[in-house]
Amino acid sequence: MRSTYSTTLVLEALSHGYHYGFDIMDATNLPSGTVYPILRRLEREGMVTSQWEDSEVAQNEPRPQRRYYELTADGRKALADTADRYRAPRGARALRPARHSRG
Amino acid sequence: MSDRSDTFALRLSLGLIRTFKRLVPAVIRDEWVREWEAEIQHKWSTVNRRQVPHWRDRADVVRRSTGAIADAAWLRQQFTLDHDIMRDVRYALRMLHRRPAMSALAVLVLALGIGGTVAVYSVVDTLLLRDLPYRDGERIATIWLTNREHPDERDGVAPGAFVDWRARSRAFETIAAEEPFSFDYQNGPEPLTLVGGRVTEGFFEALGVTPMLGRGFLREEYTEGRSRVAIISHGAWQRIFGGRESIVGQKVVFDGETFEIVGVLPRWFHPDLQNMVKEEEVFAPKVLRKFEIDNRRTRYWSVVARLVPNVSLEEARAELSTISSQLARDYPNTLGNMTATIVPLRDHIAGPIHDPVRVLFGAVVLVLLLACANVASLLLAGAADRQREFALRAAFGASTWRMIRQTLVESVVLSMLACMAGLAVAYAAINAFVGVGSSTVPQLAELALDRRLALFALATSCAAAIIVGLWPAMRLSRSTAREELAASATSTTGGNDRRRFISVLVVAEVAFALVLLVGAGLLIRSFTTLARVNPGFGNGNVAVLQVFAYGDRYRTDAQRMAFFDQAIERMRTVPGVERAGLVSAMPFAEANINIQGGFRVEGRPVPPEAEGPSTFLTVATTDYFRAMDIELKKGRLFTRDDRPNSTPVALVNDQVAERFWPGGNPVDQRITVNWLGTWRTLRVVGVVSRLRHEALDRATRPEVFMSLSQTPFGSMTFVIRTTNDAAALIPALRSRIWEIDGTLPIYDASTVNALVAQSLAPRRFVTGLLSVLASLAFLLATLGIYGILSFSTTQRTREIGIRIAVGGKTTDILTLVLKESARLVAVGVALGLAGSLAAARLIAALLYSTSPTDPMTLAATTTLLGLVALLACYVPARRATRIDPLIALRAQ
Repeated sequence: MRSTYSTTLVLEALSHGYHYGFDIMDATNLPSGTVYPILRRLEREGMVTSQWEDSEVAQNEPRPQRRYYELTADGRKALADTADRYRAPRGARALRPARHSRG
Repeated sequence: MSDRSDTFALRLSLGLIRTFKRLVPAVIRDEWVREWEAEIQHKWSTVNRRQVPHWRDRADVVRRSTGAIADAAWLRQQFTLDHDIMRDVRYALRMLHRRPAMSALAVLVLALGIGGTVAVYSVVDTLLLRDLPYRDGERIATIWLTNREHPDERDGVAPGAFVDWRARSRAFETIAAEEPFSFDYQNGPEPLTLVGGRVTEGFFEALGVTPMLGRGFLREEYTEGRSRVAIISHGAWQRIFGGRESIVGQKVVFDGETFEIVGVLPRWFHPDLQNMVKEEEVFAPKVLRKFEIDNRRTRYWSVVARLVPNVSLEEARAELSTISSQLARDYPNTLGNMTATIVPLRDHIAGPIHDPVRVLFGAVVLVLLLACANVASLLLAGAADRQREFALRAAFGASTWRMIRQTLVESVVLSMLACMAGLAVAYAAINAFVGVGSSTVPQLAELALDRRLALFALATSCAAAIIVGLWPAMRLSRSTAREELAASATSTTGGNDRRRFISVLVVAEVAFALVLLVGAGLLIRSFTTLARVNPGFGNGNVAVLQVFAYGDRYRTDAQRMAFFDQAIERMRTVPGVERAGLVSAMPFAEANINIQGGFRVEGRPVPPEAEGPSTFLTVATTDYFRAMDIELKKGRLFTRDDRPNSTPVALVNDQVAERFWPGGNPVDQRITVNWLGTWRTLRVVGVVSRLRHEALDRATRPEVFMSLSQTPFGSMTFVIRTTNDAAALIPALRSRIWEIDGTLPIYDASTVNALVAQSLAPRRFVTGLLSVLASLAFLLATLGIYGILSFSTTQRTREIGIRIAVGGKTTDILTLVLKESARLVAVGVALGLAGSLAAARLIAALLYSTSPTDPMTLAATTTLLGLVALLACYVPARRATRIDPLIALRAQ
């Protein structure tokens, strides 16, 4: 896997419970034009899976259904592998536990 | 502010998404829009949940939505790439399908090249590249005594020399030896002889192996009275003791004595120090005795040593060379002409295949290159047909890179098909290697088509794809659409560029094929020379059965003699037996009993005992010479009158006769020989021809024969000449022995022809394989040259048509085409000969009394290839002369 600093940040955010594109942007401070292509690539490489969230969750908010991203086992492994390279990254340190959960 | 102005940022963001969505591939467009809209809506509602939304939060929503363009662009690019490559692959498959014969031929030719390369690489990998299973295997070496006059012939080590090395050398951490030994085991369904050795202290440590079960030998077990312990091989553990773990600590009777089994060795343990086909199965501690420490004459031990860390092999060689010179001075008659040769364990294990395998790998790579050249020429013919297609595509705007990718994808698809077929070829070839080669090199039994080899096949195929597809791709990168269109419209000769490529292909095919043909020719010549070497005995139907008559039943000479007499009598009753003799040192047998002893001629000055000359001493009966058809040159053989109490007699071979009675007659001379520590006086009654003992390419040896009746001995081989197939009589002969003694193991039962063939097996294997490769190369080159020249002549149809139309004569046309082809063939032959000379050093090590620049072989192979190549040129040239100018001018 091509592992850049931004990719590690995105993996880190996913592992901390940020599951939606815009939330990941907030958590990592990366622009949307960076976050989305990284998510697409990770999904292509099997590090991440995505699906539409439960319609019930969306109706309760109320808002349209959002796309929900999740780390796979490979993604977790890749994150563990790259963690050493970017020990305590600046952005990741700022990550807070996510408010949103998958319901 | 109105609602409308409040929602401006939201509407702007959604508008951006609707604009950018056009970039997104249609199949995922709706989902993409839905995802972005949901995120924007969600963000928007979060922002507006605050009491007074800040304008900057709204601007942030817009800013985020601008990122959608990068997302959309990325998706578009990926999709296009995937889509295009898939389309290229589909197109390539369609192109291959359109010319099924050409495609099948290309795949087959490449598959043979790839499969062959993978198969030979598997041997290289197993023997030369993989780590040895022994701990720090690179530090382990075997040490042998070598006669300075025959530096290539490794001999065993005399016990005394081993003790001297061990005392004087500092380059080795451990030096240990193994005395070949066999252990009779009678608790099985039939009596067995298990081969193995008695090993000195540090043997397993030097080899870096610890038993898989149990323990190694303890220091005190190398002393008299404590040494009845044994370590067995994994094979023996499985085969004889049923793989029971409880075997460790059990008592087993070997050779009538009780041994405790203390360990079982790992499965991979095959150091093959005794160079035997049989696996070594039992090891016991060796107690060194005084007479052994003083014995620097009989060279039958194997020595293995572990280098001190950071001491190089070269340093160790230098040290042992100095020690050898000292020993040669100290013991001129026994070690005077000997030196120590160090062979790394890896090279020793690869044994007779070690040198050839590199040559074979080189050969198979040449075959692969030839295959690539052939396929490249096939593709070239295909590409010519498609010239217009590419030109038109360029004219309609296809980029050069796009077309290069198309050609490369085609060659990759072709190579991947060939890779799959090649793996099948490799699988078959590897199985054949295991079948043929593992009796010569035990480690070949471990060959298998594994993931490593599959990756190698893939890499080879990719390399082949690049070689094959490179030229068409390069050509495309240089030309422009206009030039191509113009060229195809007016071409008369096919273009300089292509002609240069054709020339390179023809020259390369001739050169590669010639190098291989010369190599195979030399090996075949060497093999036939060797196979014609006179071993000193006749061939034909001779069975051999080796027994060791020791133990309780054979305590006295009389008991042994009674057994052998009875056995011979019974064997003579087997229908088909002509002669039944006995000998102690059977030529070509695995356990060739090589006893050497001092030799003196009576009446001549006596040198000091340890320093006098020596000969090999063999015990035999008269029928041994008759069964083996050994020529009696002077005097007589043994007779019935040579009884135990009559004058002891001897036969000498002509090598002894020439050395001690040059120009004279040894018959009726008296000699004394040191037979197992006792000097005996013998009267020479005859001279027989000298024999080869180890192999046809090993030197003959001075040998003195004593009569069995006067020299009772227990390690004997029955030598039985039969009227028909000797192998078929072996079961009957075995049962005759067991009728007398059902507990006596038969060490080895074979035929003389099989023994000789076995000694030739490594060379036969290598020669056979290289001949197959060379034949393949010859075929590929011939087909290739024919194909390329046919194609190039076809390309020149228009030019030839014009020449004929303006009155060119048939012979002129023929000369024109042939001259050009002949020039290419000549250049190829010259380069091929140069290549052969360059490879001469490599192949010289594999040849037996054949020069690597043998003029006969060079002339024969060059003529053969040259003539066939010219014939391959002639056929298309001849066809060219029959061109009808009218049709030719209309062509293209």
